[in-house]
Amino acid sequence: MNEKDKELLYQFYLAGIKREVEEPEIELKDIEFSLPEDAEFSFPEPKQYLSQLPGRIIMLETKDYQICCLILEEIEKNLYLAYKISPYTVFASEFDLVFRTDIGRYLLETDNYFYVTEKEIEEAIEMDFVETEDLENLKQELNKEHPLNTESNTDLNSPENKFRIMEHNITLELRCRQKNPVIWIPQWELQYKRQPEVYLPMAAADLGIAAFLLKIAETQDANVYFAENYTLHKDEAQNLVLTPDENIVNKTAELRCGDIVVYKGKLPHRIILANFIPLLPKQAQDFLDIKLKVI
Amino acid sequence: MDRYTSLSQGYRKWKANAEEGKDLLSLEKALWSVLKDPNLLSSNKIILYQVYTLLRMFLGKRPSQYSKLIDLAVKEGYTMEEVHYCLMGKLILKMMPDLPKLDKKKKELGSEEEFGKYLYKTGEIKTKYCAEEFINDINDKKIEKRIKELHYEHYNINKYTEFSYIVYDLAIRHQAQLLAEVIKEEWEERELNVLCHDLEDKSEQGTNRLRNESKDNIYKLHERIRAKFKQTLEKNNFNEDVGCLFIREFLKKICHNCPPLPTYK
Repeated sequence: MNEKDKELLYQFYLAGIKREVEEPEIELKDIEFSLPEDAEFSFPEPKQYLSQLPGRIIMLETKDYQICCLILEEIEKNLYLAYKISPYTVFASEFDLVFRTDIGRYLLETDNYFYVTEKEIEEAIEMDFVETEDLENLKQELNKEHPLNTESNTDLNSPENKFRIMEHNITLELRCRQKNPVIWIPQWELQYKRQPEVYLPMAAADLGIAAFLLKIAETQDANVYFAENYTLHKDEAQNLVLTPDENIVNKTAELRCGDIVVYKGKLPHRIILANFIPLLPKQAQDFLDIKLKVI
Repeated sequence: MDRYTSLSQGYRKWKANAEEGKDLLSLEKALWSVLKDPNLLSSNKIILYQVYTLLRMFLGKRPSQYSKLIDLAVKEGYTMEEVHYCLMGKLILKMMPDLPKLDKKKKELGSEEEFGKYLYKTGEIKTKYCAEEFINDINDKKIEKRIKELHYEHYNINKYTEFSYIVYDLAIRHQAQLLAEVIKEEWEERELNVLCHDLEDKSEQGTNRLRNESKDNIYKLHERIRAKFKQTLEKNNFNEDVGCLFIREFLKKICHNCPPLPTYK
């Protein structure tokens, strides 16, 4: 599939993501519709939907979007882990699982998950379901470590990466509403992780990660970066942590990396931006171009 | 084109002249009746027109996506008829498992109008999804299989394709139709006769074919014709899904036009 076709498909996807129709409804021309006279429809006996919530594929409706997701499991009472899924298997990358049910084929985005309540699941439109055995297989696949594809396109404006960024944008509200928001940064996930030597030649990749970590352990001062209204630092587990200034905690804010919004909502005391990041906070700031703004 | 005209005319005639059944509630009721008895879609033209009208309304909700759908499908060589046939089939297929839940919802909501709204919304959301799945499938066929396998080797959960999935898969449907043409053109009548015997023998009505052949011979003939069928699939690069769909949907018609021969000789 060439880039032009991918772009056309992306435009088709884009035309369908908004929940509300901005354009006026149209009446289709009669001439556009005709069926063969001898068209016969045949349908197999349908399987019944599951009574339990895990395994359900549902369409959640947020203020702006319709979000198709798979309910994977109950994490705690009345809280379920859900993964964003999509019919656009053409855009599948190394971050995805592709699976089938009796009536559909789906792309499950392993890095795009959030939590939903029982009420939200019950109120959503049910689209399909994954049978118990297949759900267990999916869980096993999700637990496996999958290698990154260093051959993948790292251009954030390529159709497949634009799709990925938009898919995360759609779930932003859901990912940000929990106590520990799930942050996804495209520059980190789609560029640096895939090709570190290209995106940060002066960083850890050149030094070797182990040597680099030893070095930053010795230089404590370099482990903190102070910005205008937040602080970046690395915790003991080498997570990159953003701590908003005390006076803006609980205020509604928008966090951007470059032009892309990666967090939107009430500011918690700390946000983990990335795990095991082999960069000093200052380097991370420069590379990710982090901006925090109260809105 | 003739075979398309009469239905199109029938639909237009119904739309222009029918005094009843065109209001939203009637259309929703028609959809509900099809979900309860999907055969109505093939056997009752008025209900077909009504569900058709609803599908048009669902598609018309997202005009720019709809026009892109048509552009992409036509660009890939699919006709409008194929697009709409598959979308309607997919929609019903995806709504059928909803039946118990919808039934419950109907009781909960009480009034027909309220239930109609819920059914409409469900249909609209599912139609959008069907259209997306449809376009993805058209494009997916274009990706070189080898590249795809390299990419997903470790992640793909292989599962046998269920028949229900392939019924409205347009690419498979296309190939199954092509296979029907290949078989009609390339196979001898006596070979078709054996294939049709294999099909009809298992039916309730039974078959008049190969009456003068012994059971042993019939067994051997079946074996040979299945091997030939497999070869035809392989020679034309059709997979098993195509073969399954051909047998289920297109072979019957071929057999209908193939006179029963009492022997293979």
